[in-house]
Amino acid sequence: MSITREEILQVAKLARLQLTEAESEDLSHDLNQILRYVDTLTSLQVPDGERLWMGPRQAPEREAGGIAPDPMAHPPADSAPDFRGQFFVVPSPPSLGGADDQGAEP
Amino acid sequence: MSDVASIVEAVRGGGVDAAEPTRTALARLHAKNGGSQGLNAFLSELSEVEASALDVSRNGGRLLGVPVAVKDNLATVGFPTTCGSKILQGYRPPYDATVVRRLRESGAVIVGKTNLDEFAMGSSTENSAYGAVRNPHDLSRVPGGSSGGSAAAVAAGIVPAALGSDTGGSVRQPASFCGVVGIKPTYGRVSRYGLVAFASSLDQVGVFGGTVADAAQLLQVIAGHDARDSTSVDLPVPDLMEGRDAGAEGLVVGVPTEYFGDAVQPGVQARCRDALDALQAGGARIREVSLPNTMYALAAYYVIAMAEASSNLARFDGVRYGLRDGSGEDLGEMYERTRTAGFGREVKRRILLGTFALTAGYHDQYYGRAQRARSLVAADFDAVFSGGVDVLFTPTSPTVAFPLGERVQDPLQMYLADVFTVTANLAGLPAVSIPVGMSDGLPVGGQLLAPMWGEKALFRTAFALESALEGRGPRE
Repeated sequence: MSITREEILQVAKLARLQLTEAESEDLSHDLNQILRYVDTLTSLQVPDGERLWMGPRQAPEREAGGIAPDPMAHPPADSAPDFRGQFFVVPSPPSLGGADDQGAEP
Repeated sequence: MSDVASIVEAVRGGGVDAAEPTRTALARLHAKNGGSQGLNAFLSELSEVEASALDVSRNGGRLLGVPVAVKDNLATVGFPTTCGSKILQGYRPPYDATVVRRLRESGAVIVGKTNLDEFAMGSSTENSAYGAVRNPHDLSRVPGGSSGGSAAAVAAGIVPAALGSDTGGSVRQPASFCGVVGIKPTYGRVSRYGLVAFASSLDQVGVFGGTVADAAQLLQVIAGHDARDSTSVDLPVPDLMEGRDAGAEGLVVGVPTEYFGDAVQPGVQARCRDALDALQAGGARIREVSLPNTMYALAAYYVIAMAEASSNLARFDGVRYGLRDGSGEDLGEMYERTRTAGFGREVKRRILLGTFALTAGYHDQYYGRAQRARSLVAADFDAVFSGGVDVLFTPTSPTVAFPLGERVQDPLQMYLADVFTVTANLAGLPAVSIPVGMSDGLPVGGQLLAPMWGEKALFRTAFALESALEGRGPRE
């Protein structure tokens, strides 16, 4: 299996990378060398029904409800101009009497 | 006072000011890190002002006053986290990685962030945007990688212990090249929250120590369940120091024939055979075993790692983090210009290959086969461990540290440096590299592997081997 320069440029576009002529030439050499090595996988014989590796086994199930909520790095109130109870206080537009609403419940 | 236990004892006893070990570490760092012949192991460090203002609690903590270095792909408040890349130049995370937080809570002091291959992609720490790291044993040679800065910092005696990350051997291989202890825990044993992702199904935070005990004490603190990492497993962490004096009596040590082939340098073979003799003399039974699918491991590893990297690194586009090249005409051009300017050659190579392996026409041929190979590699280990083998022993790397620049133009040769370490990552197993002697004046590392969650047996064997080889390592 080999990869052409055109394929490299197409893949670069997918990966949002720009390549110069010289870079695509160099990468073509490197990637083809690596792909030739990776082609050792083509001789792999996989038994029928072989289970794919799915991460650590022998790990116990966690108890339902035993996972604590993930605390945020910064509490939301730190990023808000005002915060009362469990609500952000958002100033209303002046046309709706915004200035007078400042003390109202959100 | 250069190991973890003696620092903690001295500080706790009140004979030494809690900040003194950190001041000593910083003085060593300043003497050894910079200049044309410096190690270049650190990318940032505590300032003198910060060091003098340290308030290390005397009320407890397993690592009270211990200066620790942290690989620069772990989020650390108070330091930049660059991943050795221009694309994250100057990025300062607003939170600590869980492992960093646990270190701080145990009384340890983060003295600096260590250099690495960009985004942990490499085996020599030459792929950093901030220059290559040098091996303290021979400044003309690489320290291994990708956690080469952390390994060099411990080997040079700047800190007694350090954190790294291990995706395919990035803790164990530099530990071997630098003559220190390096452990990769079982996948899920240590939280990855705050570790910048390279290949999420393979990444694991690991530990370096000057001795097995130093590494054990650090791992004891950082291990354990973390709700912030869904792959972290809720299992009790065993006392890793418990087997310190248990010796090797009765252990069954498997020796996979596939890891002792012609590609292994004679000096490395000889030191590893010496280590096996020492274990046998201590009462261990040595049993030859086979892991027949090892031949597929490296190819499978690189396909999976590159595929995951191409996805994980898509987030670096100039919008949220670090570098932004906004000189283009639209958003798409900004993404492309930022990524093109920000990523180095090896990272681009891996993103391209990973993207290629995941494209519609090639997915089954590469990624699908690689996942099947991964299952077979894991099944090989299962068969051996369920057959009565307690731990496996192999060389950590086929060679000793190679000269700077020797492999940097040949990616495949560079990848082959990981041929004995990637299998533990593919199967999720814990593995440790410990110094087993010298060859041509350079350290040789031996690797021990245990079944999943088998850190206790792993450390018991590592303690026994370290004790049996006392006087033959790089520190004597």
